[in-house]
Amino acid sequence: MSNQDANLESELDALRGAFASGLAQRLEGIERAWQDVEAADWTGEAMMPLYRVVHSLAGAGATFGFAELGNRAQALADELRLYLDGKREKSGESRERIDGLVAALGQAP
Amino acid sequence: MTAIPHLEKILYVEDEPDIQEVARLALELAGGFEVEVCGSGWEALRVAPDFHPDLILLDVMMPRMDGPTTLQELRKDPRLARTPVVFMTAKVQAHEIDRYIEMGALDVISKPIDPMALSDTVRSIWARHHDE
Repeated sequence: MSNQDANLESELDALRGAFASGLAQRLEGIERAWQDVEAADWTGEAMMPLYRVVHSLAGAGATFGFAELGNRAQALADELRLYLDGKREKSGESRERIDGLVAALGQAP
Repeated sequence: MTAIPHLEKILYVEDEPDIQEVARLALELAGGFEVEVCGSGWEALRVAPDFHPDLILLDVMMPRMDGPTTLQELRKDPRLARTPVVFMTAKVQAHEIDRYIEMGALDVISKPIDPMALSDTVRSIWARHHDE
């Protein structure tokens, strides 16, 4: 391994560590944002901040090697996108589905 | 045989701070490139004319102004009209790659990025582009 690659590995390890340390806080933020969506009766205005944090987690998780977390976050982001694009409407079933996807984030290995 | 122009300055446009940092480190430390990072298409349009990038790496999915729209706007500026652009996106499918190439992108890099390979991927796209 070249010196440049070793330096990069070392810097990436530090970033991965910071990501892992902040993960619990990020997941709490997602739960709060989901509660805000519920409180606001699923308006697009309330849904967008939730979508943004979930989309961000999907990208970061995958980039830092947390593949399953990234996949689960992407599945939730894809689901939320359906509501933002008006392709799916609020229902008891959809609430359960999103609840399940949010809970699954916290159980990702 | 024409020499391949030196690739030195890269403008990287990405809205996610975590990914910004990983890609910047990868391009600077492993690739030795001079990198300027912008968090939005709007910022890229403001920064690019002064930075004079050799290449622009442009995320496709960004809020407000997405990558394709940013590319269209870049092309309207005579100073940036010919600057090569490479899109970066997750879940890319073959027909989408064709569409991005038709828009004027050199190539598409799929996300998540492999930080250890990103610089080589960029150099390879650059070399292939100048070899054609």
